[in-house]
Amino acid sequence: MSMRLLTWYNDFLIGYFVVVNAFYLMLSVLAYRSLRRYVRRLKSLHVRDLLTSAGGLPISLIVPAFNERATIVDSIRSLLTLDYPSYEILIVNDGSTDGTLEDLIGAFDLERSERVATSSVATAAVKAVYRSREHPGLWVVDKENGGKADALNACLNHTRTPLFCAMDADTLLEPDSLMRVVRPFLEDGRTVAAGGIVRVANGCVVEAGLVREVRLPRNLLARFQTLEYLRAFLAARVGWDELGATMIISGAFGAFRREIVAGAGGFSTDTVGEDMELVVRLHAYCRDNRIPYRVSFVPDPVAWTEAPESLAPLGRQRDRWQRGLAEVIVRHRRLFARPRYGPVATVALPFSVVFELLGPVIELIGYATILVAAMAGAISTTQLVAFLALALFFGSGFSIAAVALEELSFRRYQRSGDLGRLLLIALVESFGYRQLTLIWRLQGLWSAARGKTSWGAMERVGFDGAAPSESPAEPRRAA
Amino acid sequence: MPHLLLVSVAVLLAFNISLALAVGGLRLRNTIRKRRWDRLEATWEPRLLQLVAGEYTPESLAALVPAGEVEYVIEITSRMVQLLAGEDLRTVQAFGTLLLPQVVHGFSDRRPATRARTVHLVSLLDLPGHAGLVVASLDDSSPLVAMVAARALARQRDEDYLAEVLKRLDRFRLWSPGFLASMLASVGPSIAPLLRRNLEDSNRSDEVRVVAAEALARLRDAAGADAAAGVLGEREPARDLAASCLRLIEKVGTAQHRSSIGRMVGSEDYVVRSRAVAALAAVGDETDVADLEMALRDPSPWVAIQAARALSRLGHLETLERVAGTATAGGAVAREVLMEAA
Repeated sequence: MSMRLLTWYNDFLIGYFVVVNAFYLMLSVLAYRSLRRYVRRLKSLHVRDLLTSAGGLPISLIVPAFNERATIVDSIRSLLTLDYPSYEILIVNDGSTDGTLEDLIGAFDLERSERVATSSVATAAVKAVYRSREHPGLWVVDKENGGKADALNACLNHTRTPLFCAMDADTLLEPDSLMRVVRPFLEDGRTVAAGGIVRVANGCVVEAGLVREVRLPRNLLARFQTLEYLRAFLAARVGWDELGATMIISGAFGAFRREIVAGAGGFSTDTVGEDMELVVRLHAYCRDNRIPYRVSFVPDPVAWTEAPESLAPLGRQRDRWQRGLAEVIVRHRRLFARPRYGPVATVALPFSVVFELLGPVIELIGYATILVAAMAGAISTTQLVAFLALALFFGSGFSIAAVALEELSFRRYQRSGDLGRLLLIALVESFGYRQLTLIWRLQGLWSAARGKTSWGAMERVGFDGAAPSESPAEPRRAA
Repeated sequence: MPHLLLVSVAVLLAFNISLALAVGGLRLRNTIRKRRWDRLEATWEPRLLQLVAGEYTPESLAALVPAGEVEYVIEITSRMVQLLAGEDLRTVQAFGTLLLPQVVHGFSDRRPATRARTVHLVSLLDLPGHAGLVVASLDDSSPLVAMVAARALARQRDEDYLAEVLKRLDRFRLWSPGFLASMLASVGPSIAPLLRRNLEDSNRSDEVRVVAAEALARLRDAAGADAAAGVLGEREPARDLAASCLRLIEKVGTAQHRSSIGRMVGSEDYVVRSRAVAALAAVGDETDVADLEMALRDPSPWVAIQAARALSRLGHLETLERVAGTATAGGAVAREVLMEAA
């Protein structure tokens, strides 16, 4: 009986892998068609032309900052040089204890000012508002600590432009990133949210806040993440966008229509997946209120981010992401499979539950049952190797497809050696890295089940690779 | 089952290998293309400069273009055309026109991106010679092609072309009104009468009328304020239309338009109220100060901010200073505007 159960589960596992990878393959095919069409479209409608014609749709960059002393001044300096006709920068100092505010005041000649809130999403108390004498479009809102989502809401409350772009304090934008992410709002007035692609900056040559040369990281963990980001953004998100089922706009770089987000209640402060939660809620809000809308993923605006290069912070990040996913799914379970809420509800959410949320559990049980079956002689060594080979080739196939999409569309990795290394990573990641992420995702599920709410710490090294400051909040990275 | 398993593994392995080879092939193709492009650029950019300098005639240079390189040369030429003006521009366009017969078949290509690209290239090099085709592209089934054609025609700054675009403006109702308005306004003041007619025509959709009002505001067309006042007198104009007309009056209106703003100040919609207050600041007078002071206490901060700015504009700083001393929402607004004025 137990042998039959084992065999049944192994058969189920094969079927599960076939279905999930067939779906990823379908997403890749959709992404391929979409990217080809998009690249051709770029040749006929130049984004700079569009923006110049439109006189620029005013937008606010909103930047939550908590203990970002290592990178904040350089990040803001680079934001001040963006190629966009009309924008403001709103930084929220979210109760930093490392001198972030003082550094900002000194670097940008800030003075106390007044700026009335235009929406009333509840946040921790705002202590003061500062404006730069040197750069009148640069504002800093100083508030009590409340977390990232709370800080974003404080920014939202003080935003005056029709659009805002939420980003992380250490995100590097390319000069035309803002232009490109605003494009969907020009082309379709129903657009309420648009996200761009986030790429891994580790290993790249960064000067004055700009990525001058794109290179693969030297660090192996960062290389794995580079490939993951390609899969997630170029393959998966473009594919989901084709289906009209975009479920997440990355918190590191996403543009939104202020009025709609304020109307929907701003960012949720009781989840670690506030970016995904907002987008899913926007779908529900617009459909419930019969607001014609569109959520877009745009593959060409790029934001560069620093990926963790050691196991502990990476593990915390993946734990948090899985927790965030679980929280969003539970919170919005009322949408599940309901046609009135569109493809997000009928396709994306069920997929997320079955393959993203429960996937780690199914996979873990699968490893166990296959090994037990092999030890019990229910499957031969050949079959065992074949199972494992299937898992390997399914996973690597999707990764190689993502690399192919990169080469087809934007070709940011100019060095052929880097391309070759990405292909190798696609194969190697199944020998240890995927298993690690499985463990972290399981930890995330367990944390979600226990109701854990903290973010954990990220070790920042800065984009020039310089070591972070010596303070209790930011331990020196081991060499 | 084991046999199936092994076959599956073999198929997947072959799939992986094929994909990896495809990546390699793509890289090779891209590298070759880039080298070819760089070589052609290095050849043809200097030649185009020589053309401008009179060392070639358009005909003699066109004769040097190999059949297989026409599309590349047209691409390079179209980029250069966007940087030139005057006689230099006409010279290079004359050269480009000679090559166009080899790309105009793109107007009827089944792929929208190719049709759009053709419209774009033709419009840069010789729109007048292909005006019929470009105008016809306004009715293309693809919104991309239609918009590329609309922008190409708008760039010509010709009223007849713009009239064609305006007739079909409903096609572009999803586009940002600001973008469309800027596109139309780029023609210049000569387009204003046509825009006013569209604004006044209640048979046109609200979206088109909004675009017309926004374009008139960008043109600072004084007569547009009369048209806007007329629209505001209509029964229940839609929010965006009312807001655009109020913005037009704010930009170019006079005291005679004040009466059309009146009831808008009490609108249920905060966007309309805030635009009405802003318009009142521009065309109002001392008799409106009381209304503006009341608007300072509006529950919408957008309205309050406009009211404070209006009072500042009308020189009533002492009113603002009085309110600034209070611990009310209006007080915060007043303090902000006083700081702006300082």
